[in-house]
Amino acid sequence: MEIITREQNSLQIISLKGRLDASTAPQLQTNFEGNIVLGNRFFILNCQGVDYVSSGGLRVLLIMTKKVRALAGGLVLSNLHPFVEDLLTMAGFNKVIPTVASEEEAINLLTKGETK
Amino acid sequence: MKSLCLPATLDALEEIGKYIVEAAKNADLDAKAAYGLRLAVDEIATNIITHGYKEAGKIGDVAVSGVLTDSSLTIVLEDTGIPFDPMSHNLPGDDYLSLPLEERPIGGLGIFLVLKGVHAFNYEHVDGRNRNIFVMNRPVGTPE
Repeated sequence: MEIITREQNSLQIISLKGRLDASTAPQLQTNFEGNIVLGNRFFILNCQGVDYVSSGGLRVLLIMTKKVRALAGGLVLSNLHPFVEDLLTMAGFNKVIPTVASEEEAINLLTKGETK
Repeated sequence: MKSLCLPATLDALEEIGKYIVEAAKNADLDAKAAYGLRLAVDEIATNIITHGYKEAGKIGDVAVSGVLTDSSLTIVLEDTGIPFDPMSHNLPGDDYLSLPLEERPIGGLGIFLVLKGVHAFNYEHVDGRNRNIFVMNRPVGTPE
């Protein structure tokens, strides 16, 4: 799995490429936790390059969501593949993790909800 | 279809995934059905590798095979890890999706996705081997 992180509007934008399953999800978790340690709290996960997610991937998305919430931050998923979006809906995760169609919408969502 | 035998480590998930994608293509499954099947097999394979072997301190293989008929595609996962019937544990009830995420039984999501993803799922333990069987109906009247 390829993980590329950049900063924009004080947000961390993580772009993923590859499968997000039990074998690759720990990579994302480690990367994310390293980023949290640096003091970052607002994240966008661009999933454009992810055509497959399993429950192992969902588990890490949930861990990340809980972590940013505990820090009064936010995590938004963007650019989901239709089948991945279906999976999130089927598993009921769409009620817990915000998903939007584009990075731009994700930025709007996070900056609007952010109190500075 | 040719079967595939892999060391039971998480690295096997990628190869199993490729095998399923190829099998689904041969069976003319649509993309959504193919995703459901891949997810179902992946969830069980992940359980076999982590619970059946690793956490039990065992080393072994996981084999995947497929049988294609006019009406169905059957995928079988076989392993010699500890006997484990996925249907006997954490079977999600009707209220599963209405439970808050933190109150859902651990491991329930995997089997929920298995049952959602395939037309039939069966488990049997034969001659010291776990056999997890996934059946997909093929689309009717698919042009050759």
